[in-house]
Amino acid sequence: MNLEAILDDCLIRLQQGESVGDCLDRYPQQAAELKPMLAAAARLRVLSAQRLAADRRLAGKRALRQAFAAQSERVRPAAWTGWFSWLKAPVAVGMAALLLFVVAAASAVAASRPGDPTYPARVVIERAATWPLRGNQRVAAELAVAERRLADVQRAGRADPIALGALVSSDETAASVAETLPPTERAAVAERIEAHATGLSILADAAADDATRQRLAVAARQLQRLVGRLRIRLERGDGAEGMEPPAPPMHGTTVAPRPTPLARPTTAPEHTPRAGMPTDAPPTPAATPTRRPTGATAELTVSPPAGTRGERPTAPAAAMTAGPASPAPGIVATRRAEWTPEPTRRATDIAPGPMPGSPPAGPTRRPVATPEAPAPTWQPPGGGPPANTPAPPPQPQPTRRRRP
Amino acid sequence: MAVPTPVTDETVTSLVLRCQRGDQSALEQLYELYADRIYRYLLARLGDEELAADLTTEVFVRMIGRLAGFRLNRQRPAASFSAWLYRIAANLACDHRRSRRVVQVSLDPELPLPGLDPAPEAVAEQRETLARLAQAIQALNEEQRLVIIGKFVEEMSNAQIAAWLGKTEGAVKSLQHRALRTLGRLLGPAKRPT
Repeated sequence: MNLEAILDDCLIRLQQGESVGDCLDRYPQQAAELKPMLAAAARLRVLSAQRLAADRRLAGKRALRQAFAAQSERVRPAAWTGWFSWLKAPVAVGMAALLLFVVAAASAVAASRPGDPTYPARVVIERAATWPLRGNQRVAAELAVAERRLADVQRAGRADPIALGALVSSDETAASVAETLPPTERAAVAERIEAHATGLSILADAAADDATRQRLAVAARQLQRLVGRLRIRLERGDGAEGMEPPAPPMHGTTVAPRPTPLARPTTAPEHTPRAGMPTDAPPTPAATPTRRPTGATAELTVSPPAGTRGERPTAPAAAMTAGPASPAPGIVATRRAEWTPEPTRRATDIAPGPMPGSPPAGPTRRPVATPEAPAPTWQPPGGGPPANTPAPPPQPQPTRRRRP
Repeated sequence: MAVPTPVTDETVTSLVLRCQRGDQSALEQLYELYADRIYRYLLARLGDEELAADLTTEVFVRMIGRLAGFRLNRQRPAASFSAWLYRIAANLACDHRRSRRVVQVSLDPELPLPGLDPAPEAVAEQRETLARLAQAIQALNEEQRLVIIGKFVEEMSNAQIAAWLGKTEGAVKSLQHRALRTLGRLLGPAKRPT
């Protein structure tokens, strides 16, 4: 029997009325150790006899009643708080979970790529951000969104219909809003949309399968039409603020033709027709020789901004790469040696016809094919035909008018 | 010798729930059930009857303020409520000790056992005894203190103390042994009153 058990036995005996001496006699070998412990235990018994005095008890109850009344006053308006304290933890956990979910969803949407389930959400959200904008801010935002979609298509390496649709839609909106802008800004918009079209057509060329090629080519064609429409309106001076719309021709009277630049630079993209990207208006040899790209490995370049009437290009100002529309390296490589000087395609060749609200095209509004007035030539740096060489005689160009 | 009022799980559960719903009579019943116990605990800790009585009331006032947030342990409701109440008392005693230095009394080895004489001398002697006991008990850790109070103040069995503290009976015996060894060393041999 160890000391703990002996001590416990002695304590029980003490409680039953035995004396300390009796207990020590019972365990003489442990008596020396037990004695102080049992003495302490006997002294501690004095505590068990203590009770709260009656008057203190009454005073205590009175104090409790007061405290209880005061507590009830405080608790009554805070009853909901008490109830909510029960709910506090689940609500906090729920809020935290919701926050996590929102952050995760936002990250997934922001990082989504064509083909991902969250990609449509990303397209819609990015597009929705442009809605409150107006004027040139809206145009810039729409073009930026379109360039993001083009980059998406390039990165994904597939003609995702959502990305393509969003690209065309953004460019259409940009073109539509741009009609309220001054001509210089509209020209810049046309240029950027054209860069998108060019990028798409290059991707179409590089596409591995016919379906992809077809989809990309269709989108590129839509953008080209958009560019053509913008440029025609630019030439006509329609839509811009502060410009008078041309008066409709009157029957039986001769309407003076609008001043037609005889020697004007081409306004149409000079390298748009591509294999695999059918155009509505096939390129026609024009009287104006076109510039050619520098070097044989011309990358995706965009034609300089369509000059204003009578303006003559003096430098290859816009022989620039097309930014986000520039194709992937592999795609670029496939384009080399295909780039040949192409005949200029006039804007009227792809014109969809009279624009809504524009005056009917009379005989004097025919697009100018002016063999008698050869356009000045432009020689790119690094080779090409000598500058200021007389233009070759114009070839009869088969024009195909597209019906609106 | 105080006979502890039986505290059953059913009683405590019912009273606590009624108190939480704002039943004042339940609060008074809880006070009746625990006031003497808390008083003895505080007396054992502080060694001052007046102070122990004041703080007993304060323990119950604090209990009223915190009762709304208290959750009964459904496995052992009485033990959990009792432990919670004693914890309030322990915190209050600690707060009081921190805020006011208790009069130090020398631990005279010739400590007389209290008699039953209500004479002023006997009362003074008892106060001194209580103060010395409190000082010795203060030297224990909280677990040892609760075992000693459960065993010698509340006269609980080892099994009851074990249930109250959530320990085994063996652990209770061990704590009791160590506590009594410390107290025996501090209090010394008893001197029988003449």
